[in-house]
Amino acid sequence: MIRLFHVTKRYGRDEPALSDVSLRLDKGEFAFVTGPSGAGKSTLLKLLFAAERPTDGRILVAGHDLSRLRASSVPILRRNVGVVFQDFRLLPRRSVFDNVAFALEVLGQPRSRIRPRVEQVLRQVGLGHKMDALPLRLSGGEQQRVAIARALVGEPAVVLADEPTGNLDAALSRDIMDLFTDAHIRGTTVLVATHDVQLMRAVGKRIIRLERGRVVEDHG
Amino acid sequence: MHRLVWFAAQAARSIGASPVVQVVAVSTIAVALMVLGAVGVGLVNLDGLIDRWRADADLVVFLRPNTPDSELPTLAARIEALDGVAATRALDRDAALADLRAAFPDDAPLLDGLDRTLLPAVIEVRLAERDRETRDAARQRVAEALRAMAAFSAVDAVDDGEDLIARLQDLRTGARAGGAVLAALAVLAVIFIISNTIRLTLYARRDELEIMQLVGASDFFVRAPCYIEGAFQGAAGALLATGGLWLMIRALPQEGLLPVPLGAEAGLRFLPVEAVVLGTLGAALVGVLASHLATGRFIRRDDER
Ligand SMILES: Nc1ncnc2c1ncn2[C@@H]1O[C@H](COP(=O)(O)OP(=O)(O)O)[C@@H](O)[C@H]1O
Ligand SMILES: [Mg+2]
Repeated sequence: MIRLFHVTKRYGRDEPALSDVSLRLDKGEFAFVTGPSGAGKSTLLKLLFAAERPTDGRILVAGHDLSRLRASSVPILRRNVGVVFQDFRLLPRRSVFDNVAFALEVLGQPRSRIRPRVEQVLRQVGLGHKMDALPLRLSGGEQQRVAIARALVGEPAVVLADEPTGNLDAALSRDIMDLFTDAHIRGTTVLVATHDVQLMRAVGKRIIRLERGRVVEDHG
Repeated sequence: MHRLVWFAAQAARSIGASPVVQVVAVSTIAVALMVLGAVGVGLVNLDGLIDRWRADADLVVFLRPNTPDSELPTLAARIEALDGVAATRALDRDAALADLRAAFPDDAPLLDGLDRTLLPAVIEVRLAERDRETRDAARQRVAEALRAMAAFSAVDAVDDGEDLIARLQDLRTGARAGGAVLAALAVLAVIFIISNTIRLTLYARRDELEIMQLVGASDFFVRAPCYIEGAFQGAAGALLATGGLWLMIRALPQEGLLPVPLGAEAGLRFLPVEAVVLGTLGAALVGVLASHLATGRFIRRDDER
């Protein structure tokens, strides 16, 4: 589902953010990427949803060869990859329902199909009762649930999350992580970047450790 | 269909989110198009003037200076007998001078001291053909016949109005060229205004666009609402310009706007409906083009590829 072959990513002339990284995540796998700040976790995820291009090496995601992906095909890749960020990135003037529905509207799906699917996914993340609320009236944990619902609503094959619990306390972090494991159980490939050791231990999945752009540990 | 509705709803949302920007853009466009429309009105009326002059112009035959007044009735009768002539009116030199005085009653002092030798005797010729379409040809035919008479009669020169028509046509050619340059400038101005407005509204919507790109919306979904917004601005500007111009022209005094001898019939004419419709559609199309340019830049910069 995800394959990296000797991938190097360099921003400008600096030391590479990733150097010679090779990785394999099979379909339906769940893994964490961890490592100190600046290790290249975010860069790795950005490469996987084509927000950045590798300087060297090949990347395959959900059947797309990202090194050869034309700009016009990026949207097609992204429909297959849900992304969640630390800062939620919700649209403040749209309701919870509209934030999630937006992800399907902009793909040209008809309202009749959007409504039941959005309601379903919002119930799934435990927000069935707050569909009409505006995001800023919600707690951080709830906002992140909305963002996760938005990432999942299109039923992507892969979900990427960059420090999704970075702004949340331990208990909320566990709840959020449960949503990712739920998605994983339903067959989604999940890759979560985090430096929360406790959380990773509690979830008990594969852990890929990066340091200065290199994979230094991979077990689980 | 649901897509079109969605695009329109997005466009409406974007327009509604920045009413001041929209008003400024639309009125600036309207001003630019009003200038163009004013030239259009000028051209329409110049065309009308030329047509009317062509249709109304009759012929004037100037007689040789030494022609005795007694010859006038015979000559007038001969001219009246020409094919295509309805009537004639002979003016001897006194009558011609009196006619001039009557035409400029306010300028009597200027005309003082002129004597009958100043003006030649003339015979005014009224054409039988009244139909606008065919009169032009009829007038030329009669003018030729009259010029042929010059060889063996007192006919000296024939004024068939072609001089004035030629001058009006030159004026029209110049005005058309000027209008074309102005139209090109107006198109550029409209593109400039709309593409900058669209960029402003895109900037205001940047969070939304980021999410759209994140979840895999195609470029077209990012662009289509902007196309609608640009078309709206162009069309609204054109309609506002039309309304403004119409009011301005109605506010002008309708009498005495056009040179008297050219005989304005019923005041200034406005742009024909087809021109307004085409102009509005054209402005909408230019708006789409401007949006395309604006979003193109935005999308490329945003995606960095
Ligand atoms: N857009 C960028 N331009 C330049 N350097 C960057 C950019 N993004 C990340 N970097 C650098 O790449 C390295 C890895 O960053 P990042 O992937 O964000 O690490 P992490 O997410 O593990 O903290 C860091 O040294 C960072 O400064
Ligand atoms: Mg990071």
